[in-house]
Amino acid sequence: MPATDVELVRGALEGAESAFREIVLRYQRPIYGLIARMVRDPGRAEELAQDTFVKAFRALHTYDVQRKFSAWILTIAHHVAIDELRKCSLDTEPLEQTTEDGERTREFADTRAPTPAALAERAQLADVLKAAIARLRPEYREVVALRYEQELDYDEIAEMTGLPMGTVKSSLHRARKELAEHLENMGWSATTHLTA
Amino acid sequence: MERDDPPDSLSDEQLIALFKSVDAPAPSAGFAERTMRAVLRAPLPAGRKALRDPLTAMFGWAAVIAAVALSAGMVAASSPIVASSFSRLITHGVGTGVWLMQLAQTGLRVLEVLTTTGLAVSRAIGTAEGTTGLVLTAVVGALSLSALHRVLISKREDSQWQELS
Repeated sequence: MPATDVELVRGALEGAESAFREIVLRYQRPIYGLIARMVRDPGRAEELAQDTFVKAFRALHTYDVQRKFSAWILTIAHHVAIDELRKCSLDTEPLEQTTEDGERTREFADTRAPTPAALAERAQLADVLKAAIARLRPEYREVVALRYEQELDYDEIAEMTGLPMGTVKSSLHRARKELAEHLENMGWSATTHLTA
Repeated sequence: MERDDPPDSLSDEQLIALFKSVDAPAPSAGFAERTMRAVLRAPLPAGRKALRDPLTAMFGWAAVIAAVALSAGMVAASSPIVASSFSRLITHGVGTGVWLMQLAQTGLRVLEVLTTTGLAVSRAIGTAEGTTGLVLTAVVGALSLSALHRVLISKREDSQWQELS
């Protein structure tokens, strides 16, 4: 039976390298995933994810075992990513890009977008979803990643981000609406193709 | 779950299903190893235990024990009392060995002489000339001893007479 997060934390505090290694292996994808969704630079996201684990390790003795460890470490990742966004003034990429000859082209919302049938492939779907999320505002991207990738509850998201519950709900509501629009622009229909 | 989404929006369930159907972003290979190296290099707050690998710790203890044993041996060897006792032990050991070898060599030579003499006597007894020679030697020897005995007795009687006179 795999060790619980709390057991791993206690082991790491006792000096067991294997315990913290297990924490890294267990949370590398969620941490990296959240940061990558927020900063949209894979290389930088790895550096920040690494930074998150270092900060988490240094602050491990402050972790309250009554809290969910995933929420605690994701909160650190959230702060690391927010700091980075503030430092670099990163924002959403423009929906339109200018080519070398000055022609303005739409990066994703191409009228010749692949048909929904062609997008059935998993990898293609991932690309489309990534592109749709990338168009969201940073605060929306984060709540979407926390809600739908990390599957956190609204109150956990509110606790992590420090936002009021109402703001979390309204952000998610608007994010869903914007995602539906972006996906439709890319050839996906919320009503016909994304029925759960 | 919220059910008040407008028709042009995605529901909570739809999005959860959509995200589950695709792979989440993943870091590159070796990320965990690089992260652990960074974690091990990071300075720790006061009172916190540093991370250690059980195998490394075991090898570390083995190295410490070996180093302590080696140091103790070197210290003992460099101590005058231990060094003189050790050299005395070596000297006595070598001397005793040499004496035993010499003793054994001498014993072998004596044994060789006795063996040769015994062999010669046994061969001489086997022939008539030898037997005659040995008998004659024995007779001559016995007569010589008898004569010597008489000479010694007569000398003692003479000296007693001289004392009386």
